Amino acid sequence: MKIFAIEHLTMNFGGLLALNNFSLELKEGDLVGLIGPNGAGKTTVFNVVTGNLTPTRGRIIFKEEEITGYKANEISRRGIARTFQNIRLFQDLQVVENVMTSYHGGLKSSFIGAVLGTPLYNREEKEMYEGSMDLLRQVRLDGLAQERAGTLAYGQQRRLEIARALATHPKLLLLDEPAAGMNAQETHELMDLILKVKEKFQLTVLLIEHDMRLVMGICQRIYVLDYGALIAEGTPYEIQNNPKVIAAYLGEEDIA
Amino acid sequence: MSKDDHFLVYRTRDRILTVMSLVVLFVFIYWAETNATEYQIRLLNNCAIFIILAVSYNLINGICGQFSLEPNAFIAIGAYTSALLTMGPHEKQISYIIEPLVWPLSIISIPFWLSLVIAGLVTACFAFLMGFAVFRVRGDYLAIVTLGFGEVVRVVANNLQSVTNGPLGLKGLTPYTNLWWSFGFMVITLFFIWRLTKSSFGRAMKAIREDEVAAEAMGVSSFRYKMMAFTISGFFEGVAGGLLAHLITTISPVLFTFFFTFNLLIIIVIGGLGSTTGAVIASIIFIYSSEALRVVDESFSIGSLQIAGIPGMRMVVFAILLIIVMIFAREGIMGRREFSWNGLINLPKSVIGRKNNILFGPARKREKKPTK
Amino acid sequence: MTFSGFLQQFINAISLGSLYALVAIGYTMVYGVLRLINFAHGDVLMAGCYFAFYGMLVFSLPWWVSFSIAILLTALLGILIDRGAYLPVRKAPRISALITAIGLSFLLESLALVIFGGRVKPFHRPSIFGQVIQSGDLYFIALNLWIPAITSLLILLLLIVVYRTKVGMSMRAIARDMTTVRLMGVDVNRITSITFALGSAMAGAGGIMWALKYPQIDPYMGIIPGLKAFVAAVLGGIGNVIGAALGGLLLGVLEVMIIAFLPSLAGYKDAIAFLILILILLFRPTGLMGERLPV
Repeated sequence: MKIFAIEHLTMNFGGLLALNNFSLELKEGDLVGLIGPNGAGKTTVFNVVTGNLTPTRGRIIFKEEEITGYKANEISRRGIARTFQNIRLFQDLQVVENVMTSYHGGLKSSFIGAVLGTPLYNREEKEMYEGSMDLLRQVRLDGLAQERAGTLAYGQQRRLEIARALATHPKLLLLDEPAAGMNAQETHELMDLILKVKEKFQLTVLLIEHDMRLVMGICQRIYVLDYGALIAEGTPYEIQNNPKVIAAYLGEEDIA
Repeated sequence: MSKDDHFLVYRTRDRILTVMSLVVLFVFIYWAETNATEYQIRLLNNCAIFIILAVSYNLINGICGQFSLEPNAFIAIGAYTSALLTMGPHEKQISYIIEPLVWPLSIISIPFWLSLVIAGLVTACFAFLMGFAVFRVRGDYLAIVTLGFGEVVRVVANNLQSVTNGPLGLKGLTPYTNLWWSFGFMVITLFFIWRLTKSSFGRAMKAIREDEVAAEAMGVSSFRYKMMAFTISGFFEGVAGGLLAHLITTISPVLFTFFFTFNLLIIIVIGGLGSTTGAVIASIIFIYSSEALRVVDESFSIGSLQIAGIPGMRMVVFAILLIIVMIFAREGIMGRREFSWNGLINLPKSVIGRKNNILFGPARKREKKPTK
Repeated sequence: MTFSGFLQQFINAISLGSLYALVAIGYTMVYGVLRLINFAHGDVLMAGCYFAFYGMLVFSLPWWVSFSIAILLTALLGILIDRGAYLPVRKAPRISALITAIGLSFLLESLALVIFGGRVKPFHRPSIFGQVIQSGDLYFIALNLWIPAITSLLILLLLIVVYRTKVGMSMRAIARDMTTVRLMGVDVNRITSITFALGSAMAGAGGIMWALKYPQIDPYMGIIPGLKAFVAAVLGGIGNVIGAALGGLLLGVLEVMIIAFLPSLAGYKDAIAFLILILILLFRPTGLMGERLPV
């Protein structure tokens, strides 16, 4: 069942054409990869989808609703969550607090309730805490719950970002280079983690990656971008053998 | 004991300690009201009022991370509102010699505490309206815009004869402010802002401070919480303005210049931007060291040596201090840490160097292997 | 209002606007290079006035010598501010630089208060500027013609520097991407100091002309003109030198003409600039020349 679509997305930055008529479709439960050389426009796609950029042309449809041009927090509340290419954690907050912020959108108490400490608020706070600890257990960070997020190791920070994104109860999860900077072992664990949370939380996943192990390893389908335009789409096997893709990554060589 | 029991024991202990401190404060104020000199009482009143101001200012600047220069505007609005509401009709008639005060302000006269609350609400309304313009921008621009608003308020106060009595200002206000009122409101302010900061709403504000884009991506509406911080700051700054007006009994536009904001800025920076505790500590230090540094402004003698004072040197010292702190000790006294009974109790231990856990008492056992 | 009355006010407006333009350019140049609003800029203006004042009073220098030296000293002050206060916080979070700027502004004002005293001092206006010119029923002082003329000259010189010299090219490059420029081997700190020197010199010149126009100086005189010049810079589009000049002119015209048509609002003159600021930020934050506001 179709859950998400990008239609004819064009992004023009005052002369620089970052995205050129890009389209993409996701069915519920898909795990799709978005790859391409550096500067191809992949993160731009994410930024448009999550409301950080307004596209020059094109539409984003999520759960049959057009969300083009909506603000970031509105899109988040509709069920799209993301992680960031260069980790954007709340450095000075504790690990568990980072995750708890995602629950804030669903808070029913008012700030007066929070200040006075009403039973409703206390209950909600407890639920947020426990929900967050649960997620931290999923990503194996529960032992570091009270640490400042900024003190975590790189791989741990990436996992925290994922937990934080999951706390918004998304249906669509966008992962921006989740394996960046990871070694083989960590990447392997990450692949397991992505599959696990996808299964557990019934997610659709779209991920940007450069690490081909991960992309080819877990993605069902792959879209390839180059200079803002789609140059190939297909299964990992098809993409691996697509001459246009090879040319894009390695340059126009004689691949006779 | 399980972890939950641990938590409960410490929470109960903390509550008892807090209540005990309030009792001590109560007794102290009672004693001071009858026994302390007028000079000492004035300093204490100033302390309480500045604590209210610093803690509220810290909410928008330090907790929410929106660098605003608004306090002098809000303090002015609160001061004038409160003064206009408590002055009796007769006093108003003799004050407003150039143009009579507009109706219905000319006949209103209400109890002090109510005037403070209304002053706070009026200021909060201004903050709310201002917010729509202010939060369109960030960083330096936000600072300049709020500074500009401060100037506008001052210009308006200077010109709106029929409301503010222009440059003449309002004189002869009844000195309602005593230690009970100032410390009473101080406790209320501290309670409110402390609880707010520790709550989910405080977390949302801090998230905006840390990374606004990420906060938005997690569903936090940055505009809404910036507004919330701003309006709440406005409320308490307005209340403090009213308290101040009825302490010094004379207000005029020249009192509410950027100077005032600058002093508060120094306080929250030195205390630690983002720490309510720091704001409290720094306010106290500021009030008392201002007094101590008064000697720098006036002449003083060491033994038989007479050292001439230079008027205005005090502010030079403060300005240099601010710059030095910014270059060498940006975190201020507390950084972003807050007070906790645990922290205080363990202070001797941590000073000696033993590892201690701020939140849950004895050192947590750190898991060596990641749990599945 | 008669036509000559209108013209009279208009000349006044252009003269005032030129001053705003000159000071606004200083803001915009520093902002372009450092992405920092130099809160102390208005106080540099004040310093220029005092340097000129003491040059004439204490050292009995002829006015043109005193003014020239004052402008040079102001340029040096700008360099000092850059090296002493802003350089150490270059790598610090934005908010630290901002607070430092405010602290610096305050320091300059307090120092001026301590050194020069708080009493308002009268600024000597040489007769060449004070000469009354009459044309029909227009009366104005020569100064109101000198100011736009000198300002135009200075702005022209500045534009030549910015667009036709290597230093200027470096400035514009840094405004685009400081890191890359550093990697290219350009001494960024040197260029920044030069930018400060130029901007501060402009402020100094503007300040002296301001003191000629309104011949009373005090330590806090720079605050309001400084803020208004900032509004002018935003109005023109921050980061854009020509925009700042246009913004300054426009602001001067609006300020004078609004009061000319509505004299009962005279007391609110200072508030006009801020209302304009609020309106711009609400409706066209990129300003006239459209430079994007930073996010």
